[in-house]
Amino acid sequence: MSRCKIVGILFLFQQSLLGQTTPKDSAVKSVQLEEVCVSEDSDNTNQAFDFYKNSKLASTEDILSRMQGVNLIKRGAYGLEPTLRNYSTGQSNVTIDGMRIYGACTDKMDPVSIYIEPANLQSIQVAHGASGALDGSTIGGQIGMKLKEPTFSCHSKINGQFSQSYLTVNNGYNSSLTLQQSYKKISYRVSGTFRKADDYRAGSNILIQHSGYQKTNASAAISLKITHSQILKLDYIGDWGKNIGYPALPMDVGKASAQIFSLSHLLEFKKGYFIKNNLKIYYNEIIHQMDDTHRNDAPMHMDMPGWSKTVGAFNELFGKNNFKLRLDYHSVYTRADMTMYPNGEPIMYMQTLPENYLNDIGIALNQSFNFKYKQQLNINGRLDFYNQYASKGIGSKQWKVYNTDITETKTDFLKNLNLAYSKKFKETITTQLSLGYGERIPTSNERYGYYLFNRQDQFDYIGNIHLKPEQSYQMELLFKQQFKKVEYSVNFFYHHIQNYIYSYQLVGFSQMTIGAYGLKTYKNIDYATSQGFEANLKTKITSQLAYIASAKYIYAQTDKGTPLPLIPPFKLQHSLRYNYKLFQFQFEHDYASTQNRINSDYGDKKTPYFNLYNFRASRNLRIKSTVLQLAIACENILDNNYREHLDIGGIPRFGRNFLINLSLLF
Amino acid sequence: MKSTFKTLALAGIIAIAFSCKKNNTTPDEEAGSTTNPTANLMQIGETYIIGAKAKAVIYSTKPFETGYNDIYVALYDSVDGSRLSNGHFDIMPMMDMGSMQHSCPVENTEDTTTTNGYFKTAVIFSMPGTASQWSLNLNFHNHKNGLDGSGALGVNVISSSPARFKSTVLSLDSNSSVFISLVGLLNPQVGINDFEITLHKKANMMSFPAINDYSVEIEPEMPSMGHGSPNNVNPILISNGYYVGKVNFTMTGLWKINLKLYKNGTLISNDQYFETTLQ
Repeated sequence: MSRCKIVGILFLFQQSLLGQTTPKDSAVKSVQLEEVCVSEDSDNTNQAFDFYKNSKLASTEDILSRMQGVNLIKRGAYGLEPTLRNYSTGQSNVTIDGMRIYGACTDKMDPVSIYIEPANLQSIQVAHGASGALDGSTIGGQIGMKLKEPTFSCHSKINGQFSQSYLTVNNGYNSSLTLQQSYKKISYRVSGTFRKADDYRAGSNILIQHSGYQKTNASAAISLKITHSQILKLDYIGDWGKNIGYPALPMDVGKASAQIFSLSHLLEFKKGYFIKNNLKIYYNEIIHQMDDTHRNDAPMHMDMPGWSKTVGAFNELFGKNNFKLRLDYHSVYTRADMTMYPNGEPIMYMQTLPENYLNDIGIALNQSFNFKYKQQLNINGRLDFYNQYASKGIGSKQWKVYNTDITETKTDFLKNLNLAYSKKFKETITTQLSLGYGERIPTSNERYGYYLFNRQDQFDYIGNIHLKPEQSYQMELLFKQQFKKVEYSVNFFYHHIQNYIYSYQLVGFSQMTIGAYGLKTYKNIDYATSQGFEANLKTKITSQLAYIASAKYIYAQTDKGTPLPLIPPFKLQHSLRYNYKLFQFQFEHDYASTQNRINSDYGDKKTPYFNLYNFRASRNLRIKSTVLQLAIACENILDNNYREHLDIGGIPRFGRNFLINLSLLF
Repeated sequence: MKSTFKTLALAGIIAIAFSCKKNNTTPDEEAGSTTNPTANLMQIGETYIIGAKAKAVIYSTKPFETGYNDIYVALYDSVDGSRLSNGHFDIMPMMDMGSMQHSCPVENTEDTTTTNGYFKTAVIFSMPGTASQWSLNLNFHNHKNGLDGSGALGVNVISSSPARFKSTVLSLDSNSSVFISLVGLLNPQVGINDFEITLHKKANMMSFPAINDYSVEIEPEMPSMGHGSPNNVNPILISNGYYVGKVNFTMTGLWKINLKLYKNGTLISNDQYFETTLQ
């Protein structure tokens, strides 16, 4: 929970490669240490993250997949949806610099994480359960992504990086360029990334059709020093995807674009109880167009565009003892259409997600209290007032056939509270008990969706506006011990979710999608439970040899004892790293056990266990004031044909893949 | 003076703003709802009713086509041109096929007074034809002068497309020739729509009594996708061969409304349907 918050700190790229080398090395001096985000919540899991974030080849998703309690739902080679333990989008929140962004795709092809390229990523903070409810009510927690900021330095020289990678598995090219410059009062940072890949090959040389993609990402940030203690910052991210294949789904993405703007005012207090105040207003707009023109098996051509627009503002006041007071507001518009073109017949049109609005106003507070005998109590709470309604129009007319008026305003008042009590023993042992309560509102899909096809169980889904918010009672127990060369932690959790939103079949109602088996909707069931553990171990065997391991397991079921869908099996990820001068070698092994606890109603299929072996090596060269980095890797060395349990449609993952990356730092 | 002008201007702007708002909210959003039926009438033709000293002007909501047609008749005194609103009026449609003649189902009002100034009837044309083939024979007993008279008007009848009229021979109902006509559903909308049909039986060439002892089931379908729609209400008999229910459409496009006819609980027809396109 809050104490076991994982803080992923992303140093400048070279930091990870050089992290284990002697600081006297000249190459290290070029590291822009001011870029390092230091968080008060750093702990050993953070180091685990640093350890893994070792490759310029890594996408944001690769980085996420190594974080504690994070799993990814995969629908294609691109756009993996992060889940926190068993909580997917809607149950958990993903934010960028505290901003709320909602996907425009009703099939969740566009998780928020795709808009942040590693070149722009400063850190990722993961907070599980109600401890992650500071920026929005949640039961699953929050993945908070932080963007790199333009920094002020004493010189006005342009510095930056250029990086070029190549992947053999899908003939993929990734290029990125970042530039930064600062003057006395103003500094800026711009970056661009281009990714292009063909269809990839799974183990045993099986071509996965419709898995190629192309995308461009651009970002720009300008900071203006108004006074010594005030900064005004303008941020922009643009992301344009094109022909993104989703082999697990019946359609691909023809075009997708995201425009993310924000304006922030940062005020630092030099003395007193308060440390800083951050005021931000933001707007983002996502447009997502699904496409079936590359599919030969499509019964008829179909256009499925989706829109999402969010406008919001928040003010965060930070103080000592982890004090944080946040007031926020956001308003979201979402809509998705479907237009079908049957041969020689009139076109057919439907709003699969009727035009709808969500407004939220919230207040959140965090505060720590220290007591004697090394005891600490951290309290965070949040109240949210939501209203949600659909606008009048064709979408609301569609719903009349179910005698449902979706234009009526649904209001929900949500409450979240988390108490984390920790005590240290003998400086080396930390224990923490967290008790939490969280709520989350039903998503617009769950309330207003209209014949949304779910690939997993092959059913169409309609929403249910009468759904109540989910409520979760949570308990977590952390035990952590640190020795000189070894440290480990174990975290147990138990969540009891009341009014769990669960699907069921509407017998006697027909599907809309050709080939679907029938129609389903959602209801609140009495409760569901989720429990499990995460464990981490890190040892420094010699000054050059390090070993890191993490394991996670979740057991989740409904009140009737039915396993919840999309629950990952036991997973072990561990690595051995050896540093020799400016060389670094790393050997990784991932193991996932067989998952037989499945929800067959939802279309879950049993997933066999797998072993995955990767090898990585890197070398740095210094040429005058620039640093050249060369990294190579071989992933899935044995070319296993495997899939993870959360991979939709049973599509196997990458087969043997050689990667090469060349980076230039200047 | 200047401020008065400003106030007036402001008041004007507000008035315009409010009137605009009102205009924006008045358009009829509900599918299948009926506003004043005589508001958008088109004239079909006119003829004198000789003997009754009257002139009849025939209106309908659309050009005559096969199937159900509303007819509104305005009668005028042929001497002074004043509107006539009292009398017995009826229509007998007639098809002249040269070798033979036949009529078609018709609904004549028993009312001797007009509604909104019109005598309302309905004719269910059973086939297309020209004005030299189809005629409406009009009979009027003029209560103003006590005179009886008749007249005739040749009318064009086009084929409704998609067909709003079906005729079928039902072997399970003593080989009756049954006419099924779609009433309304001229501007179908996504959502809930009134669904109304009439059923008539051919007794002979001139007589087509209403069927009041069938029951009807409907099942909408999108032929190109094979799906239906939920919560439709099967039409039930209201009176005089009229069966009224609700049909639901979940999206735009071509819909097929499949019909099942039952008599005494026995399915006697399941291959008839109407098609309609939602824009």
